[in-house]
Formats: sequence, structure tokens, C-alpha cells
Amino acid sequence: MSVAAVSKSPLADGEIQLSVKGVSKRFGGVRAVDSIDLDVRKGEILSVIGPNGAGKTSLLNMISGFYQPDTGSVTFEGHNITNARPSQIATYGVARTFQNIALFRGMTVLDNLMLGRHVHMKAGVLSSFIYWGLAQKEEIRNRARVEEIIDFLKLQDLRKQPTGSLAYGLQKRVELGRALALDPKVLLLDEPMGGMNQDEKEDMARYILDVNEEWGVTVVLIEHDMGVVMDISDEVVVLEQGRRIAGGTPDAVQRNPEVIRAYLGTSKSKGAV
Amino acid sequence: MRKQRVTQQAIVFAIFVVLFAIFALFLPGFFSAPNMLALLQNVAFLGILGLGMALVVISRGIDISMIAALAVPPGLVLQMVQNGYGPTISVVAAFALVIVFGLVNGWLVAYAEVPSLFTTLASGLFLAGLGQVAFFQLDVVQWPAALDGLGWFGRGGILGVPMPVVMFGIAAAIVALFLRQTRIGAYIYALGDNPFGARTTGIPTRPIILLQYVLAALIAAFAGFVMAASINSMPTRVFNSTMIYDVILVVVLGGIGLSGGRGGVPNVIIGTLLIGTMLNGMTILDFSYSAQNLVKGVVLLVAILADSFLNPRNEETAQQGDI
Repeated sequence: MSVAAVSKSPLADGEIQLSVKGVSKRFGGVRAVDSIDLDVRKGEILSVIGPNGAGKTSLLNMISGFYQPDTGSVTFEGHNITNARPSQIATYGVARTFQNIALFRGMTVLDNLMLGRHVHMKAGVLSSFIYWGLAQKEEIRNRARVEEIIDFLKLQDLRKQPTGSLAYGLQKRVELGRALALDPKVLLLDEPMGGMNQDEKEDMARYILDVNEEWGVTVVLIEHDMGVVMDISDEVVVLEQGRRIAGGTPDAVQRNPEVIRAYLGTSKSKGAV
Repeated sequence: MRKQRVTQQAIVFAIFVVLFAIFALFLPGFFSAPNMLALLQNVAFLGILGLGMALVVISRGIDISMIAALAVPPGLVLQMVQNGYGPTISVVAAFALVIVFGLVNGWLVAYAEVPSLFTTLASGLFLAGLGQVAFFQLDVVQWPAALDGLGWFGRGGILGVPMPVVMFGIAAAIVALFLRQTRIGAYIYALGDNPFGARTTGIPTRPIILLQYVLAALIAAFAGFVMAASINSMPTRVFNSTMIYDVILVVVLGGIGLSGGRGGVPNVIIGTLLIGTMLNGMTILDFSYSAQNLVKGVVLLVAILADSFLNPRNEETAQQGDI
């Protein structure tokens, strides 16, 4: 697998790459996210866990620009991206997948990945009116990269299939592929294993580890399967009702009494895995 | 899903063939040279408008203001030349009007996030009113002799094909190339297929929406100019007709799903042929204006119903934006 195609980050492994400071978001009277801090180090797999409604997806939405935080700031490799547009943030090298798959269902697997590649097409808006010449050369170069990703995710036989017709687990894999096509520095994955059976989960966990180890992509993961989370994460952050209640290595988090309370529940809490 | 689309196209085309055959066999005067010519001419304007509408509908919008953009800018050209302005300055003025109009539509939809239906309903009314109040002296603006240099846009023909039909062909080819061969075309489909997905892959969705409404307005004005050249005048009250329903009928019946991301220029052509044949047949049958509207209304309802069955808005895209 070629490693060279992945975007270069100016940071060394272990330096803080993505920093969320005091971010809050309310929806009406609901405090979906309440003054959360989060530092993501380059090269790590960081999992965000918590009961339903803890604010995990809202946090991801604020990092990727789909929501504007009410307070606080988000910094990525020195860029302040707090109020940046999703397309801008994608250009910086932050890719994401959605809990409810957001593929282009009428298009083939190949077309989906090619569109994911679009930020790397440099031919401008005007020249892209013309498919020939520069734009076409670019198309060929990008196509090669997309084929690498297709091979990596073992999607070779499906490349001409409309994604809407694929099984759920495969759609999740294609969505990962489209995010990878961006050559991201950070990958935000929102429940990439939701709704999968055990085999599919293991495959997906393998792909995530490979992306992280071989390509050096930092991963921020939201996942409900504790086995997977504790297995593959370098760091785990726990949210409950919009607040950060714990963070650290998987071992430390598992022993944290606050976390045990939130998950196993005392008489007054509702949480369950 | 792709298979389904082909079937829908095929069904609509079959209905067209059957309808055409029935009319040709049993309707005296339908299959005569003059009537075929008239049918093709009328269909051509509808078809050009359908191309513009398709551009917007593919990414889940709709442009109700197209008839205003068809009537007012070309009418302005005719009126200005009548009033003694040069053809160039008149065309430039109308062009500027179209661009500004498209930008306002697009800005309201893309940046102010007003639903396209309400935006274009209001903006069309505004533009039509502006034309009546500020530009036109009579309801029908005659084609001035000074503008005859541009008359070829809608007059005569090439190898027996009437000029409006040639213009439809050229416009169809350009739009097809734009949609299928350029990257912006691919973005338009992506946007219609899944707006969230489009944003997360870094596609600048708002500028593309803006562009779509500008293009729709330009195409509508182009249709209007061809129409004015061909009938030697611009009946500016066309805005009050039911023409916009015919355009929507062409697009929906042709198989461009209102849920976005589907269909293309071939669908517009098929839809245009069917609607053109239907309208022409009803006119020969001497249906009253109201009876024609009744039929069109029923067909549009059935087409929209069929569309929502064949191209349902899928759950994944409907429920995005969760906490």
C-alpha cells in the first residue's frame, strides 16, 4: 500500500493536531454540548463515548463545520476553524462519515469516491467546464489514487454498482472510502460499526487500524461497541449529558467511577450501553 | 435504482408513441405538415424551459419564476430598441437584468435558505410586475425592424427544421455536456443526491446553487428571445398563463425526480415530446382552455404521485442532522 499519497502534516506524532476549547451548543432549552475541551494528538485513535444524547455527534458536527458553536473555539493545525464552512474544513484535511450514511445513492461506488477526491482537483471552476486537457489529466491522476483506496477496502467488484443498492455494511465501507479519498489528516467517524454484525465490525476495526497505522491518519471515533473501543483506542473521552466526565487511556477510563456510574447506572441515572 | 429510471423513461416514451399514433390515425389534420411544424415549434420553447428547470430540479430546487424571466428581459430588449436605443446596449441591459435576477434568486435560496418554491414564486411576481410597471408600454411588445439582424434566432430553419427546434437541439446538447461532462455537473447531481454528503466532501454547495438559478434564468430568457423572434413579438402577459405548469409537467413526467439527483437531458426531451403531443391533440380536439387545464392538472398529479412512488425520498437523507 502506498503511503506517499497521504497529505503531509507539519506536526510530529503526538503533537496536538486538533484542539477543541470550551465548546458549547444549545438547541432551545437543551444543552447538547456544555463547555467541552478536547485535544486530539497526531497519529492517535481517540474514541468519544457516552450514552445516547450525550452530545457526541453534536461535537463532531461542530468540528466539521455543520454546526457553529455558541461559545468556545476549534483549532486545527494552527487554523481557527470555529466558524469555517464544511467545505473549507474538508480542504484543510478533516474528513468525516455520518451515523446515517450520507452517500450519493444514485451514483456508483467509483463516482462516490471520485467526488470525495474533488478537493484535490486543482483545475479551477472555469476550466472544469471543459473536461479535456488539464482537467482530464488530473482526473486520471486522481483516479489512480481512488483505485488504491478501492483495493484497500476490497471494493473492486462493486466499483460500478450504485451505492443505494449495496448492503448496509458495504455502504458504511464505501462511505469510509469516500472520506479516505480526501486524503485526510484527521478522520471523524460517527458510529462506523452501527448496525453491523460481528464479522463486519471486525473488518471495519481492521480498516480503521490500518488507516491509522499505515497511512498515519488521526482518527476520532464515536462508537457504542465498548469491546471495539477499548481494543483499538489510544485515548477514550466520555461524555454525559453534554459534559465531559472522564478521559484517558482505555484502562483508566474503564476504572473511573464516574464512567461506571454513567454506564452501569445508579438509581438516578438512565444510561445503558 | 438505475434500472428503475430506465423503465420510467421507457414507459413515458411508449405513452408518447401510442398517443402520437392514436392522434395520427384518428385525428384529422394532426399528422399534417403544418400541424407537425406548429407542434415542434411550441414544443421547442417548452423544451428549452424544461432544460433550465431540470438544472434546478436535479438538486432539489424548483424555479417558478422562469416564465417571468422568459417574458421580461426579451421584452425589455424589444421595448428599448423600439424606443430608439441601439440593439447592443439593449441586449446588454437585458442580460444584466437576467444575471441580477438569477443571482437574487440563488442568493435567497442558497444563503438566506428560503425554500426555492417561495423564493421564485415571489421573485417571478416581482419581475413580471416590474416589467408591466416600468418597462412595457403595451401588453404585447412588437419586434422592431431595427432588431431584424437578430431575427434568425427564431425564424426560418436549417434543412427544413424550424429554427426554434434547432435552438432547442443546441441548448439540449450544451446542457447535456455541462451536466455529464463537467465537474460542476457532477456536483449538481451530488448536491441533489445528498446535500450533506456534498458538503462533507468539500463541495462548495452554495455557489453551485447560486450558479444554477443564474443558468435557469439565462436559459429562460434565451427561450423568450427565440420565442419573440419566431412570433415577431413578446406577449408579456404570458406570465399569467399556465405555461409554468407545462414546464413542471415536462420535467416530472420525463422522469427527473423531484427528490433530486436523478434524470437528465434525455428525460427533458421525452417529457417535452409527450406534453407537446398532448397539448396539440387537445387543441385540435377543440378542448376548451379550462378543459385543457383540467386534463393537465390531472396528469401532473398522477405524474407527481408516480414520481414519489418511483423515487421516494430515502430515510437516510431525510433524517440527517441528528444530535
